[in-house]
Amino acid sequence: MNALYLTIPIALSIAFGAFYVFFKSYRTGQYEDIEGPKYRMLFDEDRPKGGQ
Amino acid sequence: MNQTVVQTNCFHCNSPIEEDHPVFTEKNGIKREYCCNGCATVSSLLLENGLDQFYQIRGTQVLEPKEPENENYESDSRMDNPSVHSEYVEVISENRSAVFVTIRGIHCSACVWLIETVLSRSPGIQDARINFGTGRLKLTFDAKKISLSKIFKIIRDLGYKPSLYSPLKAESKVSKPFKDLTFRMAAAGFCWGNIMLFSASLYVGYFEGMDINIKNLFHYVSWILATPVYFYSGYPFWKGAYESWKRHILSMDTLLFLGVSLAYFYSIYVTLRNQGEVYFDSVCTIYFFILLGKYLEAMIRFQAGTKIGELLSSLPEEYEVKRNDFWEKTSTSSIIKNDIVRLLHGSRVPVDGKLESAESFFDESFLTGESKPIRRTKGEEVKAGSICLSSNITISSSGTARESSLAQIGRLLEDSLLTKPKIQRVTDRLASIFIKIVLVVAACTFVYWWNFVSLETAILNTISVLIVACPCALGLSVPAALVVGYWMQSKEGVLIKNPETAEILAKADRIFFDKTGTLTTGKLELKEERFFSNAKRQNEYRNIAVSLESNSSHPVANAFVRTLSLSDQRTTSNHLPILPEWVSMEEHPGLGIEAKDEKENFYRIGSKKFALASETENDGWIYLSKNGFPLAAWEFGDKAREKAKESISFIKTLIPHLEILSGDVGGKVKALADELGIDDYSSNLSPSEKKDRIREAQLKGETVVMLGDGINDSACIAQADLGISMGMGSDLSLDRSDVVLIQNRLDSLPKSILISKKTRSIILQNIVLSLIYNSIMIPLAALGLMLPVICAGFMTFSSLTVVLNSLSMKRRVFS
Repeated sequence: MNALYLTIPIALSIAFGAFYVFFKSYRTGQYEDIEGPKYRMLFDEDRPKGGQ
Repeated sequence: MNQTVVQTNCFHCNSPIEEDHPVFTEKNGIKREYCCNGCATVSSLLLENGLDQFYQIRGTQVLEPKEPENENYESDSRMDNPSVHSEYVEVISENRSAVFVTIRGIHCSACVWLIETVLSRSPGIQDARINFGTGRLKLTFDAKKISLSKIFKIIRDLGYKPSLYSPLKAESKVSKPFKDLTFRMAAAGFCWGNIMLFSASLYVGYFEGMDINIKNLFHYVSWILATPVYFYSGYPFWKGAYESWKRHILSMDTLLFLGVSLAYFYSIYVTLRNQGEVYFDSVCTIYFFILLGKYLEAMIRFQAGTKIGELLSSLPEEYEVKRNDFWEKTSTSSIIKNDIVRLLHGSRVPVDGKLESAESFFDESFLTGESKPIRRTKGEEVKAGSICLSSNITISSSGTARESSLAQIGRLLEDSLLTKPKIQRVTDRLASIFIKIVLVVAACTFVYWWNFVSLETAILNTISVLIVACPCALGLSVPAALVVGYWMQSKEGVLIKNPETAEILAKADRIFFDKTGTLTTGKLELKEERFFSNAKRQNEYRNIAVSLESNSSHPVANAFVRTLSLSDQRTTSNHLPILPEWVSMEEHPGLGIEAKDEKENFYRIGSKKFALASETENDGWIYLSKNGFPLAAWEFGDKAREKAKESISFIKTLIPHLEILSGDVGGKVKALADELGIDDYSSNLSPSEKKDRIREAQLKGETVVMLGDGINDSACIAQADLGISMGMGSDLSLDRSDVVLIQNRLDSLPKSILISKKTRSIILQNIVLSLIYNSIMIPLAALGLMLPVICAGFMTFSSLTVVLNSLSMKRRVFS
């Protein structure tokens, strides 16, 4: 059971790390437009930029 | 011109084309048909730029046709003024600036694609991105290569309505606490999720035995996880507890804070002593669920707040101010006391002030609800927010825009978003009584067990009492039900601006309806035409009427110009009738228009009383007269809204009294009332008479709801206990109403009433449920029959009951 003394801190630091990443991305506004990307994907043009 | 046309819908917006006035374009042998010139312009712009992909993205969706613009394009040049620039445009580097633009009229992803693509292909624009959720465009551009007014013109040409948006301005009061709350809730949720893993093991260990070292380890880990929740997420609660302690009152926060603190510090004591059970998980559970409820509630308010902010931001931002004998363009915020400000026809007065010009008319409905123009003479007070109806007047300001009556309305709106609903205040009072009881019980428990058993048992049982008494469920009872209610309302296309709305709507006794634009579509159509003299001069009369009516912005006048100008196009005759040259023209609001031509002939158009100077009642027709003799008359009408009949009979089952208040003539109102099955109606009412009618009902002790749409209803909407407006109504009445039917559909109203009634009953159920739960559990805990760990379990269970009860509303409303 001694493994617990090692694995729990590791698990906790991974979890806190993930939470920190979420905080960061929230603060930089990545969750402000959650509708857009799924449509934007379809907008990508087949034709090169600048018209016909 | 007899070519067959393939499509029957407009090529651009896909809406059906009216037969009378198709618009064609022909290019490379392909003939396309449009419903109006606006669509044709947009479409040819798209095709020329190779953006025909728009039509694939649009699919079969019907767009709103581009309306013929009557907004003043000139105002766009104001955007290039340095003062506006500095307020809205953020300069990133020498050739890179950023600006936010709110765009109204976006329906779908095709619109977003269109605006983004067209803009990003324009020279000087580096990046254009629209937020799908908010309809806000973020633009980075080179200010040297393209001006703001040019950008605005591009957006306008595509058929959308842009207005500048300052993120700093809007994200003031509401947004900062909201973000704050989100983080606190997220932190509590994160720690709660993790701590439950260890708590579950500890629960099992409690019953089945567990290695003491592992147990200790889990205690320490739980401590680590609970600490940020206790201090960071719990900050609003200990702040609330401190504040109510300072004011010598006991609030919900006090009880929460006491219970949680006791659990937290006792757990630390247990952890350090290596003996007993910890309650760190209760700390996280309680804070997480309460914060979650608060977060959901705040989210709804935040959305409503941004909506109001957008309405207010559509007000003009720039005015001409006299500085050193020159007219200088400046933004509203830089107007100071005693500045002389010049206003154009139709612009909104930015600051309170005194009129400098001889006289002018003002529309003060935004402030007073009175829609008739008010005449002001030199030296009289002019209020910010009113609309100037004469051209080129000057006022001298008596303060800054921030001190004006308009700004005060804005603040009132913000405050209303931050106030607690009445029923919430009731639960707070309930809580304060409840707390006193709990504190007494806890004290008695402690003293009793300490005296008769031991200190340890006393502490344990006291904690049990406090935890089981934790008014978590009571605290959640109101927000949980409100949130579900709000959420369901917004699904039905109903925007609730004021949290007390649900209560009023649920107990309303009487609904007043406006007729035109509310029960009916508001789109006037020509029904009948009558000519009194020479029938050969019909066209001439029509043209005279159009030329007179085109000077008015009255809805009937608009319909007149629209339909009669069209019938002109249909005529085959080549010669155009010669119109009289108007020497003078005057609009008499509510009556009609009077004009004089070069030969001193008087023309009048309007109601029977006005145009013919007759004594008989108005019959709803519009008469054209020359020197008092009738020439022609027209009758306009509109039809009832879709599903109006079903909605009305549905509402009848929910609210006892329905009544129509209309300014229209009796016959038309009666016909509609009969059609829809409404028993009470009043006709020929002026806005102030409508208002009196509402006040009358209120004096009888009735709770009154008013549903309206136009500017003339804003007085009634404000007077009623609850004002509801149709979504396409004027901005003014939207500001004053508590509820907006966004989708402009009448059938969302009965559903909204039903949801409100249900919300109210669920709130009451929740309160009763949580009180029953507490009154059973507290005595058990005091008698030492409950272990703290079971108390914590029950506490979570009671909160869950309340949340589930609220969530069941959806099923119960539509079953």
